[in-house]
Amino acid sequence: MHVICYLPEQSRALINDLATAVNATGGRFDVSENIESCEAIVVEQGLGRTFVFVTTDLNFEFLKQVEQKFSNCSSIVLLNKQLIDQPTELRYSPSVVSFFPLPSTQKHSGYWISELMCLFLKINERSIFGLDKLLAFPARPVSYLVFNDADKRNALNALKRQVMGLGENLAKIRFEEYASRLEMMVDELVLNAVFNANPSFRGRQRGNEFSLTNEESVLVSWGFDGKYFGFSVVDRFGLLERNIVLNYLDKTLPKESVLLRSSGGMGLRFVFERVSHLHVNVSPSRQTEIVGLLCFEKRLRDIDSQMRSFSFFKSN
Amino acid sequence: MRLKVEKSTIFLSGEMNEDTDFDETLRMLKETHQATGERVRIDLSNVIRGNSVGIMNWIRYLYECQVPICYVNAPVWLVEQFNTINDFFRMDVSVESFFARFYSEADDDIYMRCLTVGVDIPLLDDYSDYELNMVDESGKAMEADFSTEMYFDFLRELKQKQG
Repeated sequence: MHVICYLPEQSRALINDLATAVNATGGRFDVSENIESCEAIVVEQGLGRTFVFVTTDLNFEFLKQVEQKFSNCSSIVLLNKQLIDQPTELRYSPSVVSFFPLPSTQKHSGYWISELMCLFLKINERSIFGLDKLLAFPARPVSYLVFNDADKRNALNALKRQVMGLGENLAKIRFEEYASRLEMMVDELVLNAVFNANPSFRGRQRGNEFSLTNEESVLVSWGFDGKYFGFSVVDRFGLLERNIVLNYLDKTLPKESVLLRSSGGMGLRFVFERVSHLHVNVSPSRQTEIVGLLCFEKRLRDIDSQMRSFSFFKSN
Repeated sequence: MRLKVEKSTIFLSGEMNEDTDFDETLRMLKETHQATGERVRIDLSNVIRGNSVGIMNWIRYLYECQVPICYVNAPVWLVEQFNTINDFFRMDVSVESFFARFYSEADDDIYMRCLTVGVDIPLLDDYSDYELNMVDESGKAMEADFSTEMYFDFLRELKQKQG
């Protein structure tokens, strides 16, 4: 993995942190000052296995030039305001695999480096699936296979029990709220995996009971590493497209009407507005994995207003 | 979901999801409206959550029966949907009271408080600078654990509807 960064407005300290994350994951790191030097670095070093370009949303024009010059590159855009508040053209830039928030303060750069390392490892090792890749060491994710409504209910009950157990005898209501949010998010993603991802279920009313074969089953996992509560929902079809996801996340869309829809209108947008990080990993025609990481802030208001990352990876 | 009727108020409890059968609720809505001639009050405070299927079906049933309703003690999950889905207030619907989350730093926990529209919270055109301070039973300060601009957006919509 070769990472070239163009961050003229950022501090040396931030660029050094970024370099640390790249170096720690076995990549090569270079700083580019303009499109010519970017080109010179690529020519000198060769494109290598992967070429990742890092910039901020402020350098959108430069990003467009890079995309014209290097059609096979991947890009990471560091955000200083929410993705959904960015111009549409930037959000739909074809090379971008991840929109990632800048650290709120230099004091928090330790977490930032480790979160970026997760991202770079996924790119460098071309191994994009798995909740364990995004949670830190102490986490022990558990998994449930869902074949029918009863399995879904069992999985959601187990999830709720685990989250509420974390706050037992202490901040009871706060953890009830976390549990309720997580239960709703996973419920929506399972419904999407059953009624949207599976071609043989499309057009069916979501209210109908469902029964899935082994090949259609949905895998639900979750785990907690002390900072993040992570969950993932995997379908066996791999049909989700990046722009469809971006459409769902689009804040500029008017408030939704559910009367003419086959689904309820909460789904991905509902999840995205409640997590710190949302990863969508697709192996075409094989599987789609949606991973959400929720930071248990003490105030739910802080969860709702925090900067969020969105990453979309597609394996070959 | 379970259902109970007292005068012009229908109390629902349980979960609003794909298993929910709204037929009985619809029948009670119509009967209560015919019997009282009043707006039917619906209390969903004991419905612990609703998923997209349940909410979609709920809205479709309400459209079908066209009975004027008033939400009382609307839970947080429902208020969040008021602010996401635009069908709720296309019908003859009002909101009397709703729950909101408040954070107590002293207890490091969240408390739910029911806010009555027009009493605890006015109907305004803009909530961007609106501050809401509460105290708990022992007088300790609690801060609104939500963005007032976002959470009260449905009130702004109700105000516009009233003209």
